[in-house]
Amino acid sequence: MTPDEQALIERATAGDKEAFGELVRQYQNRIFAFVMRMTRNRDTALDLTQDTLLAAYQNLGGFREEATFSTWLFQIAANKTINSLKRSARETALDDVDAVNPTSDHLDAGYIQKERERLVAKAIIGLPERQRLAFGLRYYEHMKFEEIARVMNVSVSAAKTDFAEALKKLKTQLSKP
Amino acid sequence: MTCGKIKDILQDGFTSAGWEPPADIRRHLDECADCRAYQAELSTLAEPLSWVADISLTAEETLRLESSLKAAIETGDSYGVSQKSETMRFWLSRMGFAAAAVAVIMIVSLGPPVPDDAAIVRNLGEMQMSQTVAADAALLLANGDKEVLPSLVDPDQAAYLTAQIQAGKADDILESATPEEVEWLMQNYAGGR
Repeated sequence: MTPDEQALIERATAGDKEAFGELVRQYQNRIFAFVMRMTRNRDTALDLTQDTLLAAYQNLGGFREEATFSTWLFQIAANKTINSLKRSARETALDDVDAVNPTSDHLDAGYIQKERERLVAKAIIGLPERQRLAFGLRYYEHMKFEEIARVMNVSVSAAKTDFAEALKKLKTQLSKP
Repeated sequence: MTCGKIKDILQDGFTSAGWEPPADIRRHLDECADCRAYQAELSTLAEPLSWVADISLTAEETLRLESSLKAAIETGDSYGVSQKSETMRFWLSRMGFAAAAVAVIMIVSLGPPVPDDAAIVRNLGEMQMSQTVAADAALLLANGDKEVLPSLVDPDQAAYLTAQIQAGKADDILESATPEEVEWLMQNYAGGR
């Protein structure tokens, strides 16, 4: 945590809404991208990002500096995302992930790029929740396993195993002809 | 350096764009077929993963997010704790979680609510329990994930919630949930059991 961020957190905790607004601007894109990779639904991701940031605001007083602010925020986001996925009682239907409609010139570069993205997104969303979490936090957020373990509320070795399993499954999925 | 450590380093590098293994790692790879195979596996994944474009909020989504957050903070959100006094906040949070817990107990033990339930709990708007908070707590409890609860709420809240469940204060808590909240919980959780 940088001294600037520390100062922002202290000001926000004391009720300074401008300071909290600055923290929001620093983290909103990362939280949104993280949730979006978990849900593949922009509206849901937007709602969950808002829920996460609001919960953070309301619980700033409870933020303990045992973890970094970033880890704490991702922990809230992960909890809310997992709960939302369970609540909806269904994961995003795999075939619905950014489905691309082929057109007459469907072999153009744009189509191929979209189709490639769809394949990767489908492989990621097909991972079990914990593996998807571990993969997203490690690969996209570059978190250390200690931080990932804290976000996921599991042991460090469990987080490592989840990430390794995710890699194995992705490799299998993405190397299919 | 052990193979396990080498693999950790390769994995670290794999998550960083443009990373090249340093000389000592390259020497190990020259001599170790297992680690080379692992590196090759990672390489085959790197390309397809690079196909995915960065995800970010559009300008319109950013505006929507910031304005709705600002509104929620300025006016107090659905459970409004950010605008309450510390004492009110203390009790509201406990009542909210207790309400969620008992709603779950009722769903499990009583089955669907009868119309009288709605009449009993009509005045509970003051409770201001948000569906999100209720749902989070209810879901964790319904799944038996009590160990996760402290990560969502503070340990005191979790302990209080557990005590409420053990005390079976369903009647008291029913008076703290709106009919809509009970119905929403029913719709979202009852079918899963």
